Amino acid sequence: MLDILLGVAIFAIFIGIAGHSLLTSQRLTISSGDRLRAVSLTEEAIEAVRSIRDGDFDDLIEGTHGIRIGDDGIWEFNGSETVSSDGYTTSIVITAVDDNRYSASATTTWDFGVQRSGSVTISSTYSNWRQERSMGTWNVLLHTGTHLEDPAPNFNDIAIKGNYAFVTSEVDGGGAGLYVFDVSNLSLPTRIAEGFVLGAEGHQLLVSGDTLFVITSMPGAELQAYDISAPEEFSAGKLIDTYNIPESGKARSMAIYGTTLFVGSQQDGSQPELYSFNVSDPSDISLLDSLNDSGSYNGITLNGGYAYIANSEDVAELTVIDVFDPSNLQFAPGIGYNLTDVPDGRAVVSFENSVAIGRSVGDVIQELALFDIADSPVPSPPPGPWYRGVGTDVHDMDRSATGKYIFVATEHESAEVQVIDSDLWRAGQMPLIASYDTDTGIGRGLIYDPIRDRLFAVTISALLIFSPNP
Amino acid sequence: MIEPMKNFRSGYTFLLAVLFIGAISIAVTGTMLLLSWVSMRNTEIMENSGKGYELAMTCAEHALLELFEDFTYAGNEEITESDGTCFVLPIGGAGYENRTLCIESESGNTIRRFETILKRVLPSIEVAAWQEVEVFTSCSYE
Repeated sequence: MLDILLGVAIFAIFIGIAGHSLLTSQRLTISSGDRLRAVSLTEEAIEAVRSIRDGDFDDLIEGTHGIRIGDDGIWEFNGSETVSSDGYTTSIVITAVDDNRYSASATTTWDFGVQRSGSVTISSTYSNWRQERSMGTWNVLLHTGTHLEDPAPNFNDIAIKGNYAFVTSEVDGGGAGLYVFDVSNLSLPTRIAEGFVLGAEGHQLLVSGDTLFVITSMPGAELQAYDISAPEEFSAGKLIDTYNIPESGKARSMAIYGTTLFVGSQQDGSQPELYSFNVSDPSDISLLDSLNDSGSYNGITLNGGYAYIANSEDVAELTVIDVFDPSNLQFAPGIGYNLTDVPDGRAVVSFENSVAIGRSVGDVIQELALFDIADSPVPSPPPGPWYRGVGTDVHDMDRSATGKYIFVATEHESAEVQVIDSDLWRAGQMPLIASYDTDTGIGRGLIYDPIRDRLFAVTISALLIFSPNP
Repeated sequence: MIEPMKNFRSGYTFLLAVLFIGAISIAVTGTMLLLSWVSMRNTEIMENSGKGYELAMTCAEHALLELFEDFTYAGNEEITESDGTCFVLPIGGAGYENRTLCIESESGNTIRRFETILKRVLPSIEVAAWQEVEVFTSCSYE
């Protein structure tokens, strides 16, 4: 009898545990299902807002919204909440962060009785990255501003960071080596950090994020990196690292790809002419590889895993280096393109499937050449190349955002700054569509600023700013 | 003397049967509870995954706008939101064309990674590829 009682008691306990467990299991499963459905609806709401943004950023409106699919089959805001057929309520709160950003928080709630209620919230931020920047037509060079430096410092090159321009110079004539200009007023660029002196010639320079890289003639510190997170506070104290390029003061050119910096040097019998550096930490520049050649690397541009070099080498004025692996630099098959005669390659620029090179003046050559590199990294005409005579040295080149316009700084006595239409050039027509004659000296360097659609050029003594035909 | 032994055997058999059935019941209900717990965990993962996706989109849109406004934007930036954190890896490439953007987000224990290849940045951003990946191939964590 005792056994039976014990058995019944244990059985009852088992049944109780099993029953409770089954009920708990059922409740948890239902609860999970409820939540999963809410997550799905919340994600749908967030993506619906993204869809609305994709249609037109201006359709995003601050407030609390519901959503629905409109008559035209696309998402639209509808009321202040959406109630699904199975009883979930979803609302989206949209808040403006700034002119180009909205944050959205979608919340789905449900209440189906005891222990079957809850809410899910998912947030996201939408930006107006699909906007299009209007670009002018560069068939004229409208001179909008000048800063004249006296005595002439022999400016060399220019880089832009926001409202600030960094300009390198020689030092023989009293130049500071590196100048900083506030260009927030495009009609009146003004020099800041006037007390700063580089202490050596400044050559090419470029901006990457909050870092300014400068090539100098300073022995032991040819490559210098400055923190320009606050350009208005630029000073010698912003120097964060230097690197000693072998052979004193011979580095001349520079290009960057992500966190890899490439530096070109003048010819040296024993030292390399191309260097690759890891600059992921600009305060700790480290050498990845180098490559020896027999010419001066006066200009570098990067395109599709290849570095295109404006070279003084007489049999490969346009030299092509395979930089897919920056730790293993090597010449591309074919090495480069041998242009007519021997004037040096001085500047080079690339865009899409094209590379343009500018050279020193020559008696029997045309100083500008455009190559098609769609089928081969080393140009293998036809098509092209296309030539254009300048009649003088080319010092620097840059291109517009689309590559339609190529800007050229030259020594031409009446056309120091020139604009070339690459489409016309490829079509075999007269490509020079605009030029500017300045009495501030020869064109030495230039950079196109796509943010403001402006061209910044430096001559021997001046910083010039140009705008296009609006 | 025989009857008490018989009763004892019957009770013993009943008790064993109860224990056997109980064990099966416990196993079944344990399995049910485990399945419910797995279901809850899956829901939690799905929720974190959704939050992670939106975090990644937040970071991606932030980086795209930064790049559009300043093509020298280098990335390497962490953004913290209420749902977790997302990280913009160092932007690949240079200039206006062929830039690579890699985003990693973490919400709860869920990590999501996206690679975006931009054909061009200006005058408007043109995306060549936008895909979720298990491991980044176009960017590094440097």
